[in-house]
Amino acid sequence: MVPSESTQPRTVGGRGVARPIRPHATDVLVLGRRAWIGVILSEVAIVALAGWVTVLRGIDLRAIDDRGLISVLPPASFGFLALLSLSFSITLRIRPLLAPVLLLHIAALIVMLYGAPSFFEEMPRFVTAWLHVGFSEAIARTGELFPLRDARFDWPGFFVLGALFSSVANMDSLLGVLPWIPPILTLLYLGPIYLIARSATSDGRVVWLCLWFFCLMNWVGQDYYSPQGFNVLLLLTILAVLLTWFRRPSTPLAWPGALRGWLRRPRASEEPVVAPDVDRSVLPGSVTPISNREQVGLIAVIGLLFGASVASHQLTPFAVLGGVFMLIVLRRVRLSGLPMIMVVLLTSWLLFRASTFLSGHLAGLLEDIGRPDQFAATNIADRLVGSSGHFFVLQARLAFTLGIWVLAAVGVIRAIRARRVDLALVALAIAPFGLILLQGYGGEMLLRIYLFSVPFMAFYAAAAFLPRPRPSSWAASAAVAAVSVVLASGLLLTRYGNEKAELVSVEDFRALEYVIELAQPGELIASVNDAVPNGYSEWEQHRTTSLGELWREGDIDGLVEELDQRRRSGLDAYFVVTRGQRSFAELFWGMSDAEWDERLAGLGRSLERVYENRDATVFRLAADGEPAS
Amino acid sequence: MSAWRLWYLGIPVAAFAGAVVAGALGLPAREIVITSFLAVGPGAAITWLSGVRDRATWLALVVPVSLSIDLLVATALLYMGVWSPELSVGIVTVITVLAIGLVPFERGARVALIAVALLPGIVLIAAQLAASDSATTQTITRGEPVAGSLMGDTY
Repeated sequence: MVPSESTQPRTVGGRGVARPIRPHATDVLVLGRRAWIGVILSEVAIVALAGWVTVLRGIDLRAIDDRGLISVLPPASFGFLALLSLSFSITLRIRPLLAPVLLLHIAALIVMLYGAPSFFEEMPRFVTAWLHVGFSEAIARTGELFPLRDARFDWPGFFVLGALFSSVANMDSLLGVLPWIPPILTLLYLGPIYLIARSATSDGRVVWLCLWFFCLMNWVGQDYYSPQGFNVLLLLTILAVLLTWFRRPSTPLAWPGALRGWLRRPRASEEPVVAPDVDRSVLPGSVTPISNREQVGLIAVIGLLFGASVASHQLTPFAVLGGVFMLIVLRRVRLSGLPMIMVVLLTSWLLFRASTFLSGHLAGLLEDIGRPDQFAATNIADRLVGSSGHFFVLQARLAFTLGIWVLAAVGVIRAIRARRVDLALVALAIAPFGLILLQGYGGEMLLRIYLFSVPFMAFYAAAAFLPRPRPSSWAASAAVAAVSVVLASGLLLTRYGNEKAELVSVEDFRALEYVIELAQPGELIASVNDAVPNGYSEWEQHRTTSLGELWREGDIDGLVEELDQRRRSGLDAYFVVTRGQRSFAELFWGMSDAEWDERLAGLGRSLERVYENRDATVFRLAADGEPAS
Repeated sequence: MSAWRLWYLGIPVAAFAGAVVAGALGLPAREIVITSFLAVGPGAAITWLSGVRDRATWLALVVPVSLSIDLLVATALLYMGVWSPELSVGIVTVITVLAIGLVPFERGARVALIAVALLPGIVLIAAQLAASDSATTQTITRGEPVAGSLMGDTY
């Protein structure tokens, strides 16, 4: 998969007569040494991975504090990350590139960073993933959709896909595969990102470094069992096909007066030393020849991918449309009619399949359009709350995000100065920011913008270190290794910063398993907040709600009254209190243990306690109004 | 028979033998065969049909295209009021076989790939037949006392 390595035998000979070069003894020696170095570096990667797994298996989950996973990671774990980073940066220096060894390093990194929870968690993390498993389970069991219960059923494609897989695989639930979804999705993202990067540079080192950086930068954690995680794959694949096979010939940039001289001034020392792995036949931005049959086939493939996106997520198709529109407007790709076809598909789905959601929310959606103040309030100001430890994580996330954007900006500037900038990728890095004008998306839009732009940011971050196709210095390699360790540590802090609240303990699960088994159809299962895995099974049969405001105020009588009002007549209501909810309240509300215990004791005096373990308690408000026992 | 024909013969034979061996070893052969097919089969066939010759593009497209086809088929069936995973697999198999049939492969390769594409359907039918046998057995033994309670040990 190395784009820049030629598989053709080397030839010599003048006047059109080519004859193969007979390898000299020194060539064989060099080849042998290269292979041995590759084997040694592969072993280093495997040792780093094995060491990491060993260290992670020994950590104490219950010692995780408000700073998340990083609070319990021993120093040795960072040592293994440093070892892998160093090994990768050395591998990147070997000519021709050792693609299998580079891929092994990236795969090891993915397992270390994205598969990390599977090495220490008791149950799959993150309750939203549990809820999505519940959606698929409900579809597989009933063959029905529930758009009136949850708006996500107006875009059910992903959940139906999960239901199909769980049914044919004879699985009652997809909970068992949850820990491996993030590494698998990340591995799948690499395919289209590879094509995108390859379309923009002839330097194979930049392509591989872009893949490596992408794995180190994607901290937003949207790659769980979710429609958006799957849709990022579709988005990247559509853009990869367009950029690889439907490019227009590059047109020179027109920079304004004063900038032109500075940005485009060639320096004698920068030219023309070229790394031996640069394939000059595939220049960045060049147009790849394509037959009519291939064109038709690939347009059909784009249609399939976009159709699946439209049917499975409410936001990503708009990001696809924005990206494609930007490429068309900037005359980077052909197929100028594609955005129109996409608009028709998207509008048809909204009108005919998502009408349930639109009929109730259209006015609110229109109100949010063009309100950056609303966006800033919900996406930044409202999120900067919580305990001091959590506030530290929030600040780290902002700093990490800004740092990556700055690094990418440096890469763009260096690429411009080296005359190797690809405007298409710059446009795609910027295009997602247009979503700011669309709406706040419940405070999650900034995360999605970051997610949609990170592959292109990673490309220019790589270009910041390797702006020109010539052998890099040892200092540059050391810088790549050092930045990689910083990024890996930053990713562990930012991605797993809420780990205390996002972990699901066995005891929490047992309590939910009990109450789901006990509750009759239509009965209410209430909780303090949403950090409770109450929807993973028989989701459609029970009603759920959270009563966080009353809990925060300490108004237990009011909470019991509210519970009584919200349940259906003649049916029981349950109130579940778990360790995950307690941690959530500590992190995001700054609630102390004493305050929590006081409310728990108050609830015990008003409701019947039907189940208890060291983490969780289940209370019941009986339908017949009997006093608590 | 020339060497390349032996290769083509080897592909479906290896796939069938792998499924049989996995079943014999107690591995979830049905699950492995069908989910693997859904994850790569239709995408591989459609990408071949599209005429893409670049290996990296083919590799990058196989899984996303496969999952998109699975998703669209199953969702369409659900909206038509026919939720049937077996029928979804059947339709995806037909799409895959048709696509392979239209790709200008050499005949031996085409036959071998179609045989592999039909494997999940065969496994699914075999599993259905086994399930119906099992249901018959359950009917006969229904009414016998159940030792222990499913919930008792847990709570």
